[in-house]
Amino acid sequence: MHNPPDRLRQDIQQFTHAIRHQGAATNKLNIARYRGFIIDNISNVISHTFPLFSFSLGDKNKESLVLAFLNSHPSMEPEFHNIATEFVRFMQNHNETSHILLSLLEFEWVIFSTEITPLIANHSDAMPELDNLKDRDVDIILNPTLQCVDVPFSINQMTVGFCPLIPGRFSYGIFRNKKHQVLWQTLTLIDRFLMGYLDHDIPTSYATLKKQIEKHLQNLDLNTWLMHSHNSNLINISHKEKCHD
Amino acid sequence: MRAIAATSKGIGLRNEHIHALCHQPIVPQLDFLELAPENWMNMGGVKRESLDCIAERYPLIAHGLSLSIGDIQPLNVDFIKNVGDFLDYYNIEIYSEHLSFSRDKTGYLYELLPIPRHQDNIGYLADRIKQVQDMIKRPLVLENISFYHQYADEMPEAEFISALVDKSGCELLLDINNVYVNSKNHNYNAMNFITSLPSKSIRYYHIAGHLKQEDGFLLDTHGKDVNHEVAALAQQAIQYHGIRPLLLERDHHVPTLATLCNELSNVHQSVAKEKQIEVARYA
Repeated sequence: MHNPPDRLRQDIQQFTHAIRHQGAATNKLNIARYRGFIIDNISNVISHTFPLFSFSLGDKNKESLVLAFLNSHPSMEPEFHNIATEFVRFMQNHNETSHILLSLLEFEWVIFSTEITPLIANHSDAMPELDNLKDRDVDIILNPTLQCVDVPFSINQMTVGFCPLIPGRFSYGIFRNKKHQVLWQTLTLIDRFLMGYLDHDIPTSYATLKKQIEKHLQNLDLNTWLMHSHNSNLINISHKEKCHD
Repeated sequence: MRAIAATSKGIGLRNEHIHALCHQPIVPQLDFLELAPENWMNMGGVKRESLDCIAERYPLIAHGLSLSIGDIQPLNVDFIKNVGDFLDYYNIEIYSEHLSFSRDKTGYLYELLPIPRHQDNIGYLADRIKQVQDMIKRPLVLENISFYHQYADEMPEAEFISALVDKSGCELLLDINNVYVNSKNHNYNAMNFITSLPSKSIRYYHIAGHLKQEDGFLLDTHGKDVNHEVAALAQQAIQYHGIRPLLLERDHHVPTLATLCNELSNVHQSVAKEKQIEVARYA
């Protein structure tokens, strides 16, 4: 097996070092050209994947970050769409970014990753009748695509275009429904409490959940919460599968 | 599923056309679609659903972006394995990539950069190509890229490529527009380049439009219609090497599916005139 020739190492390192570090006022047109292509590639992915972040950042700041990214970030993922993930990693180590902007970037990255995740959001169209005692032999499972995030702003899903971020402390569940739409909903303390008893992979029986909730929240209308959450695809409720000998 | 024949013609799979490709009647002028596996592998949701639909209707060719065959880091084995699984799952026979590199010791640069064309690099590159071919269990088809940088003391491009083909057993994706762009930018005869390549190794052709800057420099943008000079060069290449599947690239200012398919038919008709060409015999 051949090792890379020394001259090849040298040629590649010199060329890519010039691309990464050459200033804008370079007299080497070929280097500037490749540098321009790469900056455009990175900028386009950032604009497309993180529209709110890009808008909030502004063009000049974005250009500066892209140059810093090109200069030194060790991008390990080969696919071009992973520029988005690499950029988030870069920003998480970039000390000069405001907490709100970084959170917005991470929020949009979760939306992006939810859109393309290979996990499947199974969903039963016919929800069991939980008020019918005979029909309560059911399993409950969290949407496998669900990710929960805490962010220092509220954000309105229905707003088209740029929406102002209202500072605060909010929890969101981001998930993909059976129509492949990416949704996010504000999670209340009750939502988080109930979801804490559920799993993405292992179903929880209705009986088990009800028993746990009755210990702590006797006045909670569990069935209404379950119905609402099933309809929004946050969870899936299905009849237990019977085992046949 | 119909096979991809020497006379087949196709376009790249673009987001703009996905809905039409899934839901409208199969386009008779379209014999295959080309896609970048990196943009589709390990993805779910609507993308996966769309691809499953399209794969049932049209034969596919995979044309990758991230292999970086020419870099000096160990091959990204996980990535290549993922590509192989993707090719097998969708029954894709042809996997092409670029004779380029896109990674240095810092990391990936997300651009196709030219490999220094030195004799000493051929053995090293051939080893890597063979490794990839062993992993994906098919020939690796490599494209001649457009390049805007040259290293000192380089071999002529056709000689370098031919030596690599000979040593590695890889096949070639002959990009006619890249030959044209490079020949103008670096002042050499395009047909001399084309006729110096081994015919038997050419698996398929790319053709595309380019941008001419104010100073006359050409950029391989895939954003314009194919001009008559590139079409003429393609016709000569096909007359010399024989007909092969032809892919029309269009990545920017993408027209409607119907418009692009019409351009594909027109280009194919003009470059592959039946009276003057022989059907290729593959090895």
